Amino acid sequence: MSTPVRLAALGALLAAAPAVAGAQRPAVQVEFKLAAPTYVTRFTAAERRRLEDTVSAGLEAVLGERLRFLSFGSGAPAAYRLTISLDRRDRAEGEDSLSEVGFHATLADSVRDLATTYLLTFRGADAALDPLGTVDAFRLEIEHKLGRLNDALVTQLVDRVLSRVPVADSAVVWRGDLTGWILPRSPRDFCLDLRSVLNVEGDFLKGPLTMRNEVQVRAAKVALPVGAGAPDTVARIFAMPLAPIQPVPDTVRVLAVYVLEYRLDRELCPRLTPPADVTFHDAGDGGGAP
Amino acid sequence: MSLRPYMLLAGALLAAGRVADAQTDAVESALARAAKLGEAGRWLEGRALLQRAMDSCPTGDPGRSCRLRLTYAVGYSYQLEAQWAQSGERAALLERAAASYQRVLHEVPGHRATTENLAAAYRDLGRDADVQRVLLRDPRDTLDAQAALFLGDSYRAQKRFDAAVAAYRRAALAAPDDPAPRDRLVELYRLMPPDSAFALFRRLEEEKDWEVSFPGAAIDAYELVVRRVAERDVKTASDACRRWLRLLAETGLFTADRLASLGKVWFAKDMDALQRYLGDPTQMPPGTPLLQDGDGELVGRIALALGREALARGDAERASAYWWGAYRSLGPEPVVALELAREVAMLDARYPKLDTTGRRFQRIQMELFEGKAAVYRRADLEAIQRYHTTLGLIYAQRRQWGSLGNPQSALFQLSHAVQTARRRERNERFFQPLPQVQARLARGLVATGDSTRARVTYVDAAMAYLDADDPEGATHMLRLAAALRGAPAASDAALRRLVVARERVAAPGGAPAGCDAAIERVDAASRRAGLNAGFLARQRFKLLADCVAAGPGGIAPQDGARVLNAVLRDSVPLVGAGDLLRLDRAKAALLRAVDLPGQAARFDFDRPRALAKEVPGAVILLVLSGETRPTFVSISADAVLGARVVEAIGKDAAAVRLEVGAGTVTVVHPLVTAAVDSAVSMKIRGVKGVTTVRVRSR
Repeated sequence: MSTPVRLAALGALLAAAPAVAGAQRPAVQVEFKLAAPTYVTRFTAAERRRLEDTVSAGLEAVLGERLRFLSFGSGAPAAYRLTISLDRRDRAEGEDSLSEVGFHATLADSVRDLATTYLLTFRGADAALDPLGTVDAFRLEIEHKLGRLNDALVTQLVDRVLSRVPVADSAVVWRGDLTGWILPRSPRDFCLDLRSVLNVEGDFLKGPLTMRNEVQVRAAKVALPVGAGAPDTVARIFAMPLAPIQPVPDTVRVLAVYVLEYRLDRELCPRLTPPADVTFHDAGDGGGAP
Repeated sequence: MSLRPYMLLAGALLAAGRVADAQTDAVESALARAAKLGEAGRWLEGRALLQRAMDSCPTGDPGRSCRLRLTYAVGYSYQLEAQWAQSGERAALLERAAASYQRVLHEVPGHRATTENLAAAYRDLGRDADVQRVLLRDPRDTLDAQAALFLGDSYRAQKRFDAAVAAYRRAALAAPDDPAPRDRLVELYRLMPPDSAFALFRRLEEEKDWEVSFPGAAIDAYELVVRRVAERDVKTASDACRRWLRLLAETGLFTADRLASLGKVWFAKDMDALQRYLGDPTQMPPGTPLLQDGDGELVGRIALALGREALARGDAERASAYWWGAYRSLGPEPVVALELAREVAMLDARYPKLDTTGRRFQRIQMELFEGKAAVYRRADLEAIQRYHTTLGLIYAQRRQWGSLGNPQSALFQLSHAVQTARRRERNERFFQPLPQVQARLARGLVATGDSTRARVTYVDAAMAYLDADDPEGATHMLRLAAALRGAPAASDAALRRLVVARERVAAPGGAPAGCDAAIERVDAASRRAGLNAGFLARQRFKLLADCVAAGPGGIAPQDGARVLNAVLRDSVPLVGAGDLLRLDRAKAALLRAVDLPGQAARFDFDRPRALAKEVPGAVILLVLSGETRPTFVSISADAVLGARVVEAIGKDAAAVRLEVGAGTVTVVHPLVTAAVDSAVSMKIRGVKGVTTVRVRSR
């Protein structure tokens, strides 16, 4: 890349460098809700709350491990809320009908629902009304089925639901050998594999016209110099359009960037065992993390 | 004999314990504060704090663990900082991390977490030979999944592809539920010569867990195979493409972008047709060689998935268009036709405007009967049960109860579904309790005035509810049975006693004293009353597991072993999540007394039979509500032996620690006395499968 980025813009990009993981990831509150009417009535309110809290915490851990472009929490409210609810597949049906029951995923902000999808069957129509057992057994069955929230279903969750959460609200236009945007985030911020697909939403200005538009982009990595003549660089995400933008805009005011298809780069963010999980009590046996 | 020396010794031990506790607290506190500082990017301060804490560690052996943990923490801090550092600083930070880890490993060669973090640091430094040197140094060859991944990465960087494949496969074996090894394998094949795609395809054909547990990785793999072989081997490309499409449909990833992603291959027209179908359910894809695939099963699966998505969005008409369109176009031959028919018929029953004339239902009904006759001719019990259940549900939803002699009725079909399930239990050992189906059947019999059969069916339903861990439901069924005409059977009273026992054991406050004796009494009474032996074995297991869990202080290891052995000895199927919980608790109790090597402590749930059998040891049937096929839990041979040994040594299990591996049992005593050694060793030697017994003090 030969064309220098404007200094002010570069400054903004560098200033946004987080010192540690997770500092810049958008927060999403994740919660599990037992919603199927015939199931709700089988437990006391306290049991239901315990069940919902436990499954929510489990979901937080699973999603936090797999989708590292977002910061999931199951306690405090956040700007976005992901609800995984266990309900009838067809919610228009009556309570006692023979209906499949499964997991729905809904994303909401503070105002409204933004997206929803049906993820996974819990029980088919022929067994939906079978006994649920104790609350612990029921929780285990839910966790067992959610354990099938495999890599493909997580991809679906991003594609249909979580791709509505903006991961950046600015980007600097780059015009050089390649045209695209430089985001104020490094691939490591999101543990982002460079085969991920993002979506850039913005106002595209062409002459007197302004058009709100979205462009799908492929993520790449760019190294920006820390200062003039400095050998050190910092990494940033470079967003290249998947297809040429027509008509070519004079400029683009970026409003938001979304992750459409997330691929986790596990090599960029390896699982290191933190000191808190390490023991040396019986150090001679070659053990380590318990 | 004076007690004074013992009291002095006890006092000294207590004081030493307090010092050790205080030291541990100081280390934990330093680690926590350093972690907080790291989170805020204040790495230097964090490391200075760790260094100060290290200076406070006791000298010599007592402070060894303290120093090692803090040295490890310093290395970890450098390594994390390196992840967020500018390019010029990164290498220096990683070298410092490596130096700290090396210091730890000098003291504790082979320490697992340190070795792995050091390997990660070397990998990031591009020192691939060092990664291999560090990881392959351990002569015991006990690499876990993470270490195997690092090893594979280092081989990949050196373009030693075969070695990398072997390392990633090893990681996959060590962590059967982790998607990372499969992802790495696919990415590795991307770097390999194009011909390697054939090997990848064969791998997916042979290793069934790809599609079952890692469909995302399988989708990537099939896509890669299609791209690599599309112009060279039409058959392999077609096979891979069909699997790719089916997986996309089943996982909700069947999108226009993905269909277009293959580009200008020879079957681009098929992809275009599927894209049109995605937008418009009336545009059925043509029956080309790629899509037709014999009987159209693939297009049917795609239609089924797209319709389900539409219905979940609340669009019943679009769902109907996909399902009915596919069913009409493909006919009743493909296996998927049954599911399409069921969805259409049940949707029509809920939304009558979709089939105002009823002709659709007539056609579906007729063809389902033809299909059912065909599977009867093939004696395919699973398919037969599916047909009867489908027809039963369709009629039940239409409240068409009919009679046991009328095939066009819920009663006939549901009763045959239950009978077929019983035949499967006899032939395939696949037990299914079916409480919902049996309760509906009984209700239907009541509605049609057949109270004699209704009574028997309610009693069967009560047993099913007990199997499904719902004593309350069982009581309700028995009450409904009692309200009907006919003489109560001896089994009714035995069942009521069983319900009471189950409720009492499961009630808060714990099991009654003499729980074991109570189980024996209930068991004997039930036998006398002629209750089914398989049912009684299942109930005994549940009662025993609940009994030992109800006592104060958690489950004792020997009781956990008894529960596990009850399942293994009688081949008791696990029915419902309640049994999973029981097994899980029993295992946790057992592992309090037993150390098992490597992955032997894992109980792999939800494995198809072929995969479960790959693991030497025992395989237990697992039946979860709504599953049409059994899955299996595999338990390692070492865990099976551990359970036998712990049950054999009984209460002494609480005082020892056992290491069990490949027939050898090592008894680790906290206090070794000749008498205890001798007694325990004697008991263990008599256990089937034990080849060697060793005793060592801790």
